[in-house]
Order: sequence, then C-alpha cells, then structure tokens
Amino acid sequence: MAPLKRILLAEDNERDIELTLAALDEHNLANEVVTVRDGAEALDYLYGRGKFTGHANGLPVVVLLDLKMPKVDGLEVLRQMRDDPTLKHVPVVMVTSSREEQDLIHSYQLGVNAYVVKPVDFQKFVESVKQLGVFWAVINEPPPGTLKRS
Amino acid sequence: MHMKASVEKQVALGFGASVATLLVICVFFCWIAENSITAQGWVTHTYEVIAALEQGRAILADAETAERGYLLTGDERFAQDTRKAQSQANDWLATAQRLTADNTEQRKRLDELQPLIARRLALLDNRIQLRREQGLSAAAAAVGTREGAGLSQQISQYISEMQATESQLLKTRQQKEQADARMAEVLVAGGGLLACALGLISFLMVCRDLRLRKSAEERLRQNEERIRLMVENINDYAIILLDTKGNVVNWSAGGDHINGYTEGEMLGRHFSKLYPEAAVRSGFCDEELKIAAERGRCENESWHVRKDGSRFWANAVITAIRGNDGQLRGFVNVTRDLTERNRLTGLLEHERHLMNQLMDSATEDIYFKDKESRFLRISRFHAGRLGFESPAQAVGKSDAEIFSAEHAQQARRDEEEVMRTGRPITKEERETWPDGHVTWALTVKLPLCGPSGDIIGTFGLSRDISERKASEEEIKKLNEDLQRHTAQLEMANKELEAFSYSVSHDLRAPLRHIDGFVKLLEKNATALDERSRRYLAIIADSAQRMGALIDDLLIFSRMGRAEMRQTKVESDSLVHEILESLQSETQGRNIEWKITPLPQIKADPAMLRQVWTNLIANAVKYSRPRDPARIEIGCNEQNGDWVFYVRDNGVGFDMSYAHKLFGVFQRLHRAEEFEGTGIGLANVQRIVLRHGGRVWAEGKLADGAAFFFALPKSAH
Repeated sequence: MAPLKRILLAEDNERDIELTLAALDEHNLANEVVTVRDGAEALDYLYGRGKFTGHANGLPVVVLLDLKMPKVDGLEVLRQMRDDPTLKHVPVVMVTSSREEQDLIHSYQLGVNAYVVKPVDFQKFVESVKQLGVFWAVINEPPPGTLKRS
Repeated sequence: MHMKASVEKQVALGFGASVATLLVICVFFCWIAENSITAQGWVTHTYEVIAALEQGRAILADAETAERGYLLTGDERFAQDTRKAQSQANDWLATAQRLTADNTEQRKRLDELQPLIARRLALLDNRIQLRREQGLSAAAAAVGTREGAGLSQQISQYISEMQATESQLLKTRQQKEQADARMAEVLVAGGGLLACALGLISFLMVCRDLRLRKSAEERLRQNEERIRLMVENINDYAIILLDTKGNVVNWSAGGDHINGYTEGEMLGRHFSKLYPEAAVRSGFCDEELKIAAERGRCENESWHVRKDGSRFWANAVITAIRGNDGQLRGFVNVTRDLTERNRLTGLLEHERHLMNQLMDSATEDIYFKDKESRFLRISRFHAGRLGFESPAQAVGKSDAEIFSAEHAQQARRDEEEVMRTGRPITKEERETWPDGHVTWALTVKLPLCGPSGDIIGTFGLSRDISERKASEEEIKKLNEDLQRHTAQLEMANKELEAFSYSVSHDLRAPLRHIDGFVKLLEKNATALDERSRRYLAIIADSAQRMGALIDDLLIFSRMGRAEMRQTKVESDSLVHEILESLQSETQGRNIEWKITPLPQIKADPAMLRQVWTNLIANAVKYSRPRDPARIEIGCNEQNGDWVFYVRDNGVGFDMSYAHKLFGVFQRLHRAEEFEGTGIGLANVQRIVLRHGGRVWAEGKLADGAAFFFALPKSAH
C-alpha cells in the first residue's frame, strides 16, 4: 500500500503539475503530493468516494487549488470544504494564474488560507511553490486529525 | 297713507256700529218697556174685569138677599135695598160694558147677560109688588115658581164663564209679559255685549293705530336724522340749499370741505360768491338759476372759487324745488370738485396708454379670457399668430374656433382649474392646429380678478417655443443614441473584461510553461553549447517580457474598471512615499530634487499613487543620462483646478509625437534605450480622466520634458 500523501494538488494543466512537482522535488516534497485533475476529483478524494472509494485517505496538511478547473472550479471546492465541519479546518492555498481582484476577494471571503499567483518566471515559480510546500507541509502545525509526517 | 285711512274708517265703523247697537237696544228697550206697560195694563184690566164680574155677582146676591128679606118681612128697608141693588146692577152693567168693550166674546156674553139681569130685576120688582099688594103667600107662590132661581142660576153661570175667560186671558197675558221680559233681558244683555265688543275692538284699533303712527313718526325722524347726517358727512359734494333768489339757506359740511367757507360765512349770501367774478359778471349764475327754474335742472362744469381765492374745476347740478302747488320754493345746488376725478382720468388714460403699447407692440402672446374662455382681449402679436387680422376680431372667440378640439379642451380644462384654484399654471402646451401641424408654447395662465377680487376669467402669457422644443427633441434623440451607445460600450467593456480575464489566466500559463521548461531544460541538458544556451535565454526572456506586457495590460484594464474610492489625499506625503519606494532606481544617481509644497486633494489614493509613481519613475528613468539630473515636482492653481507637474531635464521628446505619449503600448524610445511596456502614461491618463481631470505634456527632444495633470478642486 502506497504511503499516505499529505499534499493534495488540484490542477487541470498537466504541465503546471509537472512544473509544480519539479519545484517541490527541489525540497523532496514531490512524493508527498497527490494530484487530481479537477474540482470534482478533489472532493472525491477528500470524501473518499468515486474512484477514491476504499482508499484510506487521511486529511491532507494542505490543499493546493487551481482556481480555474473543469467541472467544479477551485472556489466551489473551497466553498464546500468550508461548509463541511470535518474539512473546515484543512488549510487551502489558491494557486492560480489570475491576478483578478474579484477572484482574490472572493477566495478570502470563502476563507482561503493563502492566495498565490503563479509567476511567469520559472525561478520565481519554483521559489513560491517551494516556500508553499515547506511552510504548509513542514513548518505549519496542522489541525488535529491531519496526517503526520512519517 | 291708504292704510291709515282704512284704519280710521275701520275705527269709525267700529264706533258707529257700537253706538248704533246701543241705539237699537235703547229703542228696543223702550218698545219692550212700552209693551210691558201695556201688558201690565191689560193684566190690571183683566183683574178689574174679574173683580167687576165678582162685584156683579155680589150685587145680584145683595139684590136677591134684599128681595128675600122684603118678601119675608115686608120691611120697606129691604125694598129700598132692592132698589139700591137694582140701580147698582145697572151701574155695574154699564161698567161691565165699558170694561169688556175690547173683548167681543165677553161683550157678546154680556149682551146675552144683560136681558137676563133685566128680567131678574124685573122679576124682583114684580115680587116686591106682589108682596106689597097681595101679601106674603102670593109672593111665596111666585117664588115657588122658581123662575127667579133659574134666572139667577143662569146669570151666575154667565158670570162664571166670563170669569173663566178672563182668568184664561189673565194667564195668557201674564205669560206673554214674562216672555217679553225674558226677551228684553236677552236682547239687552246680547246687545250690551255686542256694543262692548265693538267698542273694545275700536279701542284696540285706535291704540294700534296710535302705536303705528308713533313708530312711523320715529322712523321718519330717524330717516331725517340719517339724511341729515349723510348730507353732513358727504365731503366730496357741497350740497347747498338756495332760496328762489339764489341766497344760501342751508350749507352742508361738504361745502366747508370743497369751497372753504363755513356755514356761518355763507348763510344768507348769494351763491355767486362761489364762482369767479368774470363768470358772475357775465350773468352765468343767474342764467343757471333761470334754466333750473325753467327746466327743473341745470348741470354745468365750470371753474369755481374757494374762500382762499384758488380755483377748481367742478361739476354743479342745480335743481329747482317746487311745492305741491307748483310754486318755486328754491334750489338745491350740488357741487362736486372734479380735480381728483380729472387726475384719476389722466392716470387712467396713462395706464391705458401703457396697456395699449404692451398689447400692440409686445412680441408675446398675451390674452385675457372671460369665464367661458372666450377672448376678451389679445395682443396684436398673438392675434397675428392665431390668424386674425386685428386683435378685435378675436374678441368673443374661443380656442375651439382656432385650434383642434383636443387642444381646445385641454386649454379649457387648464383655465377652469386656474379659475377654481385661483393659482397660476405654467406649462409647455402642445398646440394642434386644424391643419394638423403642431406648435409648442410656454404658457403661464393666471386667474383674472374683477375689481371686487372675485375671479372673472383668466389671462395668460405664452411664447412660441417650437424651435426650442425641436432642438430639445433633437437632444433627446441624441441622448437616446448616446444611451444606446453607452449600453453597447458597456457590453463591449464586459466582453473586454471577460477577455482580459481569460488573458490573465490562460495566456500566462503557456508563457510560464515556456519559461519553466526552458529552465528545466537548461538544468537537465548536459551538452548544450553556448549558442544554444543563449537561444534558450532569449526564449525565456521573451516569455517573461510577454508576461510583463500581459500584467501591465491587465493593470491598465483594471484601472478603467475598478471602483473609485475618493478620500482626502495628502499629496505631499504621497510623493515622498513614492520617492522612498524608488530608491533602488535613484541609488547612485545624482538627482537634484525640487519639490514645492503640494495641496491636500480628494481622490482615490491607490490610483493617485499609480499616477505619481508613473510620472516620477518616468522622470527618473528618462533623466538617467543627465548628471546632475534635475527633477521638479510642484503644483499651482488654475481656473479652479489643481495643476500638478513633474518636470525633468532628461532626454525629452519631439512635440510632434506628443499625441502618442498617452496611448497604450505607445513608446517614443526603443526598449534597449529605456525599458518599459508603454502602458504607464496610458494608465496616468486613464486615472486622471476618471477623476474628471486632464493630462498633457510639454517637451523638446533632448531637452527635458514636463508632464502635467489637472484635477478639479471641487472633487465630484
């Protein structure tokens, strides 16, 4: 049985996934990441349903959400998580290309923990992702019931 | 007077009737009394007859008694008694005849009785004779025949009958007398009452008449008093009573007022004293009196003289007073000072002149209408517009005869409202003419009040505003077009927003991938020559540059859409903060700053920061070749605007390209010379325009540039 992953990355663009994983790999965090390709999958994973039925998923230490995804977008995932008492306290970071103020405001209204704009510059991107991963997966003390570092 | 006469007549009639009634009662009473006396006479008479009859019976009884006495005794004294009774009986018969003369029935009985009595008396004589001559037995034999007793019985019966008749008569007469007395009582009482009532009525009528007379007199007195007071209080008229020769006999207070003389000064004086001497000499006054005497009245307007010698124009009416007999008793002279009237007439004339000028010359529609909305008067201009040759033609006409029914009805409703409420109406009227064409008039309708203040119609002013209305229509149409355009623009803006959103999200991703994978390639590729590495660097740089362009464009787009939050902004501290933030660019540079104090203004702080940042950063950037660089920041006030400026001594620009400065992605320098995306000034312009201000620039190639932005002092 594969080890439990502590970071949930919801991203529809496979290239962004590759870049994100490359960036996290620099800090040896890539193995801790489980990727889903849209909001629906993200919710399925969190609730252990659909194709994740039967998987013993613990709560991740952080969920990295892309804003714009097929089926269910990042804001909707965030909203459902915040409405659910068990998922309410799971940290969520919005990782997106959008600098739109409305998106930013909306995300914070729904209770996002951080909002990160993916820079075009790869160096800066690596830096941001690395810091994100380190902060949430290593430094931050997650809420009780969350998976601990093995 | 008629009533009084009739009252007098009624009173006289009442009293007359009363007296007549009394007279009738008197006469009647006399008659009753007379009757009663007569009736009593008859009763007495009846008693007499009854007594007489009784006496007759007694006389016969006496005679028979005396006969029997003689027959028995032969005593001559009895014979004497008998003779005495005989003569008494004869006397009695005569008396009875006299007493029963009035009654034929009794008389008849008496006549029948008389022979019986005569026979009885004769029989008496015979027996006495027989006694005397033949003695007692002969006489007794004669008596034994019972002839005498039968006769006596017959006589007695006659007398009884007669007595019964008389008793009956007595009863009847007594009854009649009682009835008469009762009738007299009733009549006297009724008549007395009637007379009393008539007298009382007459008395009341007299009282009433007296009262009426008294109140009429009181009224008359009051009336006279009133008239006297009225005359005394008429100040505008001198009312003067003249005798037949023209001397003043009565002088009113108005005379004091108008002529200046007092009553004492004028009584007995000739009224010509009130006229100018010349007029008096020419016989004017005498002529007046003469005409008044002949025709009853003489009216004249002429000069009069006051006590102080001043003249005044006055109207005088002299009226002759004649008695009932037609004899001239004198004159009444009523004088009125016309000075005030003439002044008023002048004023009125003046007012009319003004009014006429207004109505004839004003280039306005002016009209007066009566209660039925018919024209009383309209201005010449209005008449022309309504198609009349002269204002007079319009008089009596109404809107219904000029405009379409719809407009006429509306106008009538408006005017009724004005008359009902008494308040003016101002409105733009759409006038539809019979041929269908439409004009517009700006109309004020007001209530027209009569001298006593009640509303007698309306008047109005209106002006043809068809042209203005047409241009308003035009403007309205343009406005509608504008609104349509704005709506289209808004839609375009929304589309643009959606577009820029997808640009922001989707366009940056491939760039990120290009850069990312180039970097990964650089890292992973082991055998890359220098040229390949340079190519990869260029690819990465291009991707980053495009990323910067997209970001700037997004900022620009957001500047146009973001909501403005205007608050007070301290320009001074804002500028200094920006200078701090630009330290990385200014470090190592020799820049001479000249910053004058800047005002506090009202603006969106974040946007204003963007403006200043762009302008100052530009000044820093384009003055890079200068040593020392001079940058001047300041503000002055112009026509209600704050005009801010940033001036530098940098590379400047060619004024012929000045129009391109504020365009998006418009650059006057190559990127190698001065970095930048060409969006900064476009942002500045957009923000300043959104604040209701304007931007402009002055510059000269290689000789510095100055950028200005003006913001209205009274921020909206």
